[in-house]
Amino acid sequence: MTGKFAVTRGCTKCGWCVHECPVDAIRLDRDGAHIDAEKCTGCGRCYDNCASEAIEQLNGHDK
Amino acid sequence: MLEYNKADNGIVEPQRTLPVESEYDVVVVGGGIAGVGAAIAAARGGCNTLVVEQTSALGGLATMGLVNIPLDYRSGIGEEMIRELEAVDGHWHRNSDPEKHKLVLDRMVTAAGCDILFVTSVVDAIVRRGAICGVVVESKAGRQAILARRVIDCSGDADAAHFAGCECSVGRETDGYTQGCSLEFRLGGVDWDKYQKSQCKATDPRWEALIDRALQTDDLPYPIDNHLNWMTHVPGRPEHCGMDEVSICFAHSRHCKPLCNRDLTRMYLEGREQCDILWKFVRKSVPGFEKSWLLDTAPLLGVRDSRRVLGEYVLTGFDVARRAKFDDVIAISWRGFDVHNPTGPGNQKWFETTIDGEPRYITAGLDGYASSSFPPGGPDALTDYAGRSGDQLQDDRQKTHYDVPYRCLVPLEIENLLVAGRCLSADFPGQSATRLIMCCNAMGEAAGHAMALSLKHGIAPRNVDRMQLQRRLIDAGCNLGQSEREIPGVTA
Repeated sequence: MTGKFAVTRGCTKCGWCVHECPVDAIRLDRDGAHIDAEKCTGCGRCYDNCASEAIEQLNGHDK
Repeated sequence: MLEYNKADNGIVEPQRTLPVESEYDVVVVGGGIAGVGAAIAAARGGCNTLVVEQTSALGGLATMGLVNIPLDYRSGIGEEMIRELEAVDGHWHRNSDPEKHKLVLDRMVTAAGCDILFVTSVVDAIVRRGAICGVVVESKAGRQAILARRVIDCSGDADAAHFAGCECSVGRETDGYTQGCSLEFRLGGVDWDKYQKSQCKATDPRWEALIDRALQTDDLPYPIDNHLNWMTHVPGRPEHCGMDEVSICFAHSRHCKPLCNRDLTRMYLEGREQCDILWKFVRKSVPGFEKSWLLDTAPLLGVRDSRRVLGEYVLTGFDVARRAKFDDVIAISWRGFDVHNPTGPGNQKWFETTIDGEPRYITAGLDGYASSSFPPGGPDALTDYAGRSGDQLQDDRQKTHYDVPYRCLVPLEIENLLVAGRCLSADFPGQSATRLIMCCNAMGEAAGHAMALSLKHGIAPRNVDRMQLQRRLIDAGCNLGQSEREIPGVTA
């Protein structure tokens, strides 16, 4: 998978994406999860594991 | 026909000889997600195993309850289950297709060589000299006995343990009320893409505005919990063609007594009425649902907690909050608290306690802010286990787990019995974190392995060597957090 990911809408703050991220690119705050675009390698594990489908792939095809 | 005589306080049941339906090494009471783990592990361990299930399918709330989430924690049998689901296009985004899930579990349990008895209720335990040695069941065949050398109680309600005389707690400490119960429903004909792009999702002001408007126009007779976030896309359906399927957790009952069949009946009646109101509201109001239809309401009510067995250790809310590690770990979880308000609307990812005479509201991390109801003082009143709040509040949830110790599966009083699943030995907030699907499955798997060891060595389950059990679990592919820390005597 190529391209990077962002949390768009409907984040439930469950934090599972933070757990899944292999490069510590995601942090959680009161507003929800945020993906650091610099650190994100585009592996897609957050996308695959978001039960709310709140994460979208940027500049790429929808998986 | 036997003669029933009256007594002052009821009817005297005449003495009768129960037919022995069968005899097994291990009987697993309840074929929910914990029971599936227990049954497969015991059967693969060489035990002649039976799982007794009161409904008509395996999987419990994950299938019959339509709770198709969250299949996240990959370990042992749970990981195999997810792989099997993926092979039939029945898993994505941690969600499952309940129908495919049923079939996957049927196949996994039978392939392990385990017998299944559906539509059969366990109504009593056979106990001799302080040890359980079977259960009494009721079915179309009437009342029968099933004898067992070991029993694993995965009933969710700790039925076998309770009938055997184990001490149990029910509900929260203050008033004994359990968490609210929920009846899930599924909608078909959903345009998921349209919904996704609508921004009408949880925590969005547009969703709040929709509810307000519906209350004014009587489309909704009462305010509903903000739980559109638990609308989960069922995988394996035709996607992106306006024909998607979603499972929704919206209908909630409060002041619940899930051990009383009168109250369970009340909740099913109330739940289906709520589902009828809610799906019509969703169809009328939410983008993407204009052509949706009600597929079904769950055959099994979502009971989140009832009896919790008193075991050799009681897992506490503080254990969860401080990411406690135990030498006798048999399962792990990252989940924080998840308490559906027992007496009013809302969901709390925190619990109330008193420290030095002051009320405190403890959360496992930043997920506390995802609550839909907050303590007095709002989100700022939440603290972590060490009393830190606001910007100082620590969140280690995602990076470090907490352990469920083996002792939480071992009842204090009765021999040859283990419990696994949501009826584990825990306090009210501790149970709210460990009750989720994959953790229950892992507890069941550990109990199944423990029984195999107990039979192999001819010892009571409480005397099973924890290191031998842990090595066995790790060999079977279980995640005991061994990559994160050393388990004394096992991974040293």
